[in-house]
Amino acid sequence: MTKICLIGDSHVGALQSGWLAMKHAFPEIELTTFGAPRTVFAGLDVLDGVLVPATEKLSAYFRHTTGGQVTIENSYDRYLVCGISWAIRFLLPSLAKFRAEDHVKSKRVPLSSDCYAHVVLGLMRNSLSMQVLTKLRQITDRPVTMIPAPMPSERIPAPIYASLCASGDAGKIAAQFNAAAALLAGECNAGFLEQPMETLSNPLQSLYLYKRGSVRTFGGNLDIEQGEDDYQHMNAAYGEIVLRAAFAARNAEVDP
Amino acid sequence: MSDSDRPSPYEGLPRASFWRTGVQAYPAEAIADLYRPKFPVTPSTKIATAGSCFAQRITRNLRERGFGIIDREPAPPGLTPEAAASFGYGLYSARYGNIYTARHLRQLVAEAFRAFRPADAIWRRGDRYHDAMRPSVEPLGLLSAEAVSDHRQYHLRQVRQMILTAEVFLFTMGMTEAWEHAPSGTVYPTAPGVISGCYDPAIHQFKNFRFQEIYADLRAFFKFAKRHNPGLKIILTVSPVPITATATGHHVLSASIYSKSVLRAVAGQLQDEEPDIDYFPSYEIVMKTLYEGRFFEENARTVRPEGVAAAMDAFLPANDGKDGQRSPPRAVQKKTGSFVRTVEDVQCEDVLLDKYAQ
Repeated sequence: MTKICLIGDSHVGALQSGWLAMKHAFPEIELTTFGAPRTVFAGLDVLDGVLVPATEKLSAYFRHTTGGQVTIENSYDRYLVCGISWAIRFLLPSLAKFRAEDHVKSKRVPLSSDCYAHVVLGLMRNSLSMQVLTKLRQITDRPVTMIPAPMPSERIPAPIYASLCASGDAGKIAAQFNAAAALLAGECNAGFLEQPMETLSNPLQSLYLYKRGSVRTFGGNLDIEQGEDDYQHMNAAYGEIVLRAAFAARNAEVDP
Repeated sequence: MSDSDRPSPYEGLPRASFWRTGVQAYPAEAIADLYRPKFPVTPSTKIATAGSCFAQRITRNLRERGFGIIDREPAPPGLTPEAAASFGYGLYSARYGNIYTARHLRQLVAEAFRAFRPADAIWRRGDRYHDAMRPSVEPLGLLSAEAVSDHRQYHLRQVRQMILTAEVFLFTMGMTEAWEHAPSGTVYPTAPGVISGCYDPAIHQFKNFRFQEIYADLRAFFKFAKRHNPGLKIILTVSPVPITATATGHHVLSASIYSKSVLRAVAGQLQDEEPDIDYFPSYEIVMKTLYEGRFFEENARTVRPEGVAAAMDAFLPANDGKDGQRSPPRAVQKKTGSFVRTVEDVQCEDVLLDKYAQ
C-alpha cells in the first residue's frame, strides 16, 4: 500500500472528487487529504517531526477533511501540495503592471527579462506554498510534488486574461510561472507538476469543461456545487487528470 | 589711534569661527552651527536625490528617518532588497544609478526634457546590450538595443516627473574625473569596458573637469531645472569617499584630494551666489583628517554607518521642527524601509576599478 498525503487549499476538492471517481483503479494507493482555506495555512507549525495546526481553525479544517486527523505525520510515502498560493491569479495583479523584454510594448513598466524572472521568483518564494513546502521538508525527505492551483475558467470575465491572450504575453507569463515554480520546488528537492495541457483553453485559462459542476471543498461533503459565479475551482474530471499526471510523474521518477 | 588700539577683525566673531571653540570642543556628531540651512527641509518636503555612491547612503538614511524621498521608479514587488539594489531600484529618486559628475547630471536632466541626446549611448558586451548612461542598473544587460532605448525612454519620463515635482534636489558630487565620447563630448558614468562597451582610445578620452567647467555645468543644470520647476531648491554635498582609481597619472591620493577640493570649491561658490542653492557639509563631518579616520572602514575609503549617521544628524537638527515633526534619535530608530541594507551593499561602479590595481 502506498500512502499519499494531499495537502492544500480549496483546490484539493477537485482532486478529492477525482480520486473518488478513479480510486478503484488504484487499489494500492491510500490518499489522505489535509485541506483548509489558503490563509489558514499560516497556522501550520513543525513540532517533534510532524506538522501540527497551531490554530483551532486549522485543526477543525484538518479534522473535517481527513475524517478525524489533525497532524500531518512523516510516515507517508509521498506528499502532494496543491494550490495554496501558487496560483496565477495571485501573481497577475502584481505582474500586470510590468512587462518583460519579450512582452508586447504597452504602458506597463518595462523590466528586463532577468528582473522580471526575479520578480516572479520572489513573489512565489514569499508565498504560503513555499512556507508549507519548507515546513514539510523539515519533517520528511520523502517525494513531494507541488501542484499549482488551476488556471481560472475561460469564462472568467476579468479582461486582463483576454488582453494577455490577445497580445501573446499569456504564454510567456505562464512559462515564467512554471519555470519559477519548478526552480523553487527543486530548491526543496520537490517536483512541480504543470497544469496538464489538455485542461487548458489557453496558457492562462482552463477549459470550461473542467469547471462545470465543480463542488465546494469545505462546508459540505463534496456535494455542494460551486455555482456559475465561481471561476477558480475545477471539477472531478480535472482532479482525475491531475492526479493521474501526479502519479505518472512519480512513477517516471522512480522507474524512468 | 595707535595700531595696538585697533580691534582685531576676529574680535567678536562667533565660536564657530575658531577651530578650538568651533571644532575641537565638539565631537564630530555635535559640531554646533556647522550647517545653517538657507531653507527648511522637513519630512514633508519632496526631496529628489542623486549623486555618487555616498548619495545612496544619504538617501537611505533620510528615508529611514521618515523624509519624503521621491521614488519615481519603485522596485517591483517580489525583489529582495539586494536584488532591487542590483537593478538600481531604491538607490535614488529614479533609476539612473550613480551620477559622479556635474556634467552627467546636466546631460541627464537635459535629455529628460529632450534638450540633449547622448552619443554612443548603447554599449554591447557579448550578446547583451547596456544603457551606457547607467550601465550598472541591468547587470546582465538587455536582449537588444531596441529594448535599451525603450527602457531609457521610460526612465527619462520618470526623471522629468522627478524634476517637475521635487521641492529640493539633493546632489552629492563625487569626482571630477570621467570618460567622454570625444567626437560629441558625451560623458559617461563609467569608463567604457568596465561594465560594458569597449574602450577605444580613438573615440573615448579621459576628462578631468576643472573648476570652471563644473561650475558651468551646475549653473546650467540649475537654470534648466528652475525653468521647468521655478520653486526647486538645490542642496549640494561632496562625497567624502575617496576615488578608487585615477587616470590622471597623479597619485590616487593627490587626485582624490584634488577632486574633492575642486568640488567643494564649486559648491561653496554656488552656495554664496545663489539663494536657492545650499551646501550641506557631510564631507567636512566625515573627513578622515579631522576625525582620525574613525568614520571610515579599514580600507580608509568606505564610510562607516556611524559616519553617515553623524553627517545626517547634523542635517536633521538644523532642519528639524519646521513642521512639528521630529525624527527619532538614532538609538531607537526602526528600520522601516524596504531598502535597509548593510554598508557593503552600496552600489558603486567606481569600486569596479579596483580590480585593475596590481
